[in-house]
Amino acid sequence: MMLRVEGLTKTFDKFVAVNDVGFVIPEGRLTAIIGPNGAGKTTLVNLLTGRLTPDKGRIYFYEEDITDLSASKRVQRGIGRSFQLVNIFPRLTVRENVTIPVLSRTGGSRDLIRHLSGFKDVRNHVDHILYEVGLETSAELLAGQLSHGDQHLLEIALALATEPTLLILDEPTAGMNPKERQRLLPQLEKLVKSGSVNLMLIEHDMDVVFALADRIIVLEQGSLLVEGTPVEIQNNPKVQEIYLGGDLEDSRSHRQAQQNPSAGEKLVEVENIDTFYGMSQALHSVSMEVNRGEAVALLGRNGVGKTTTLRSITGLTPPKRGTIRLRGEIISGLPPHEIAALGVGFVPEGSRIFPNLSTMQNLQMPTQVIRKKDRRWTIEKVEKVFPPLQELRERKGRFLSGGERKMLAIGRALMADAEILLLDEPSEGLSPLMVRFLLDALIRIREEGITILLADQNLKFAYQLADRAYILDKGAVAYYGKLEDLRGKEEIVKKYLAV
Amino acid sequence: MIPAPRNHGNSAQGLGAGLVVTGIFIVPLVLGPFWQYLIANILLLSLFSLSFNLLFGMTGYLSFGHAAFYATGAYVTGMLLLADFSLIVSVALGTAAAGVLAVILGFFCVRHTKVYFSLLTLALGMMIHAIVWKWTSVTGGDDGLVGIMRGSIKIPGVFEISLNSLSHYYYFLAALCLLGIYILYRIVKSPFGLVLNGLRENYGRVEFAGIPIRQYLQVTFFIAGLFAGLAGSLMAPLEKTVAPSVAHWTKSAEPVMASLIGGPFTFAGPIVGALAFIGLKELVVRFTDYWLMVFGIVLMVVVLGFRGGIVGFINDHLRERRRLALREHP
Repeated sequence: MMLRVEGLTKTFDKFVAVNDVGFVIPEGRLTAIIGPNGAGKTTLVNLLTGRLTPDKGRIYFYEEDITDLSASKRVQRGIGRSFQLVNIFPRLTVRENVTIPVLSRTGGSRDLIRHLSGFKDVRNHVDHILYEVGLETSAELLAGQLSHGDQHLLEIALALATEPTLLILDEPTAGMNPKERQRLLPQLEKLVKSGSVNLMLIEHDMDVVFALADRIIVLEQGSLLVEGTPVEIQNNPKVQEIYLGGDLEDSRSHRQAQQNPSAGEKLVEVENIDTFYGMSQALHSVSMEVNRGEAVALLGRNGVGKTTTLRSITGLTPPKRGTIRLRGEIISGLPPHEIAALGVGFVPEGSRIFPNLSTMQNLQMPTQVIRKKDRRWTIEKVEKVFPPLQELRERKGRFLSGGERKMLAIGRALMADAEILLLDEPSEGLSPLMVRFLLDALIRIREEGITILLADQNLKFAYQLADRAYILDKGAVAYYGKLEDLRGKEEIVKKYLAV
Repeated sequence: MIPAPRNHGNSAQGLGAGLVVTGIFIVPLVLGPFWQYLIANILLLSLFSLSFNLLFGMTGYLSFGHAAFYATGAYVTGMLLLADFSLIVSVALGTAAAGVLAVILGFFCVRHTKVYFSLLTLALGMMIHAIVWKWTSVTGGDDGLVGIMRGSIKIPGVFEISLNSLSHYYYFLAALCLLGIYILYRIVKSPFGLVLNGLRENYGRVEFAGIPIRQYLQVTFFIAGLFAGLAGSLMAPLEKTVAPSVAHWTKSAEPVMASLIGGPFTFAGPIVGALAFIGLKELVVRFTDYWLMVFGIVLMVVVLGFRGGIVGFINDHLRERRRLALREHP
C-alpha cells in the first residue's frame, strides 16, 4: 500500500480541523480530495507532509511509519507537495528557485566549495523542469516578478523538482487561466500514466477532478464523508448537497432581477494612467470609468495588469502619470489609507485578513480607524449577507478557511463604508458551492447600492455579476463594452482571454 | 535549447578583484606604516563583516553577538603567543577555539529565528564579554593582554622570518585575510550558498525541498564563527594587545553597520562597508571626537536612500539597464 492513514486528528484552539480521518491509497492512483471550503483539506495535506503533527493517528508511506518524521525527511522519502498560496523564493531567479530542490535531490546542496555553475547536470535538469511547466523563457526573472499564474506554475515546478513518488498538489489550478490549465492537465495525466508518480490532488475545478481522478475522497467539517470512484461521487446525493450544488448558470435568474442598474453618475474615472514597478512599466495609458451602482469586470490573462489597475486606484502602487478621480475629485497621489477612507474598499487576492484577530475584531477594525457618523453597514448587516460569519465571531483569522477569509475580507471592506468594492480574483480557490454563494452575496451587496469593480479569470463568474467589461492586454485596454456583447464576439474572447 | 545567461561583468569583476589584491600586496613597498596599519584594519573588518554577513545578508539571521568569536580568536591567540607558542600555531588554535565555541553556541541559537535568534546571540555575546571581563587570572580582566610579541615564521633548519616589523606582519595578515575572504566567496557562490539564500527568502519552503534546515544552519553558524575567529586571531599580534572591548556588543555592531552600508545581499557589500567605516572614522576623527554621530548620519542616509546598501544599489541599476537593453535587443 502506498499510503495508509489511520485515525488522523488535529485540533486548533478547541476547533477540530481534521477528525479521525482514515483511508488507504494503493500504488498508481490519482486521488482527488474535495470538500467545501473549511472541510480540512489543507490541514490534511499539512499533516501528511509534516508541516503539522497530528494529535492522534498514524501515517504509513509504503508501510513505513512516517508520523514522526520531519518535513524534509518525508520529502527525501518521496512525498512532494505544492502549496495553495504561492510559497516560492521571491527574490531569487526562477532558475535558482528550481535549483534548490534539484540540488537537494542530488546531494549537491552539501557542496560548499565548487561553483554552482560547475553543476552542469543540475542545470540541465532544471532547464528540463522549467521547459516542462512552460517557464523556460522566464528562467532569469526574479520569481517575485512573475505573474500570479506563472508563480503557481513555479510552485508546481518546485514540487516536481523533488522527484516525488507521491506528489500532493494543493489547488494547482487556482489562479490559472484556461490556457495554462490546458497546458498543465495533460502533463499531470502524463505523469500519472508514466507510473513513476502517485498524485493526490486538492481541487475545486470539478471538470479537472472528474476527468483525472481514479478515486475521490470527500471531506466535510474535518471528517471523511465518503470515498469512491468519480461516478459514485457524482451521483452521491449528500455530496451534491454540500459541495457541488447546481450549475453556475442557474443563478442567471438573479441577474435578471438586478438588471438595469440606476445608471448613476461617474464614480471612478481613470485617465491615461502609467504605472510602474520599479523601472518596469506595468500599465500603459489605461483609461476606464465605473458608474455609480454598476458592476464592471476587468478581464485578461495573467500578468496583463488587472491587479496593477486595482492597486493604482487604491494608491498601493500609485500611477506615475495620469489621473484617477473619485466622485470627480482627484485621488491619485493620495496615500492608500486616505483613499480607503473616501470609500474605496479593496479585497486583495488571498484576502489578507488579520490572522491574530478574531472575526469580530477584523470587522471592527475599520470602524476604529475610519471615524464616520452615518454608516451604511453594521456587523449585523454584514452577517446577514454572509450568515456563516455569525458562527465564527470569536475564531481567529488564521483558523478560517479560504472561503471564510474571502467573506471576512469583503465584510471588512464594507465596514470601512466602501462605496466601491475592488475585488481581486474573488472566486479563486473557492468550491463550486462557495462560488455560487459568493455570487449571490455580491448581488445582494449590489442591491444595497455598492458599486463593484472585479478582476477575475473566471469569465463565467464575471458574466453573472458584471454589466460591462474592460479587457486588458499587455498593460493596455484592448477592448471594452457590455459583457452581453462579448458573448457574440468569439474572436475577441479567443484573442485576449484564450478560452 | 536555452541560451546561457549572459554574465556581464564577470570578467570585469575578476579584473577588479585582481587589481585590489595586487594593490594590497604592493602597499608596504610604497606606503608607510600608517597606511599599512589602516589597510590591515580594513582587511580585518572586511573578513569579520563577511563572516557575519554569511549569517545576516546571505541567510537572513541577524547575529548581535558576533564579537564573541572575534574575541575568542583574539584572546586565545594572544595568550598562546604570550606563552611562547609560534605565530602559526597560535593563530590556528585561536581560530579553532572560535570554531568550537560557534558549534556550541550554534546548537542553541539555530533553534530560533528572527528576533529570538538575535536576542539569543546578543545574550550569549554578553556572557562571553562578562567572562573576559571578570576572569582576571586568565584574560587580564580590565587590562586585557599586553606585551604580545608577533614572533616569527620558521621551518626549523630551513628558514626563519621575524614578523616583528609591521610590514612583514602585514603580508602575513593580508595573505590570511584574503584567503579567508576567498573561501567565504566560494561558499557564497556554491550550491550550499544558494540554499542559504533560499533560507533567507522563504525559510519554510526550503524544508519542503527536502533540506534539513537546522543542520545547514548549524554548519553556517560554525563557518561564520570560525572566520570571525580568524579575524580576531590576526588582530591580536597586529595590535600587540587585546582589550576586553573586543568582546563588547559594540564590537558586534561593527559588522552590522559595515554590512548595511555596503549591501548585505551582495558578497562585496561588507568589504565596501568596512572600507567606508574605517575610512570615515580616520577622516572624521581628525575634526571631531563625535565621529560615531557622523557615522550614524551616514548610516541613516544609506539605509533610507540606498536600499540594499551601496553595492546593492549599484547592482540594481546595472541589472535594470541590462534588462532594458535586453528588451530592446532581445
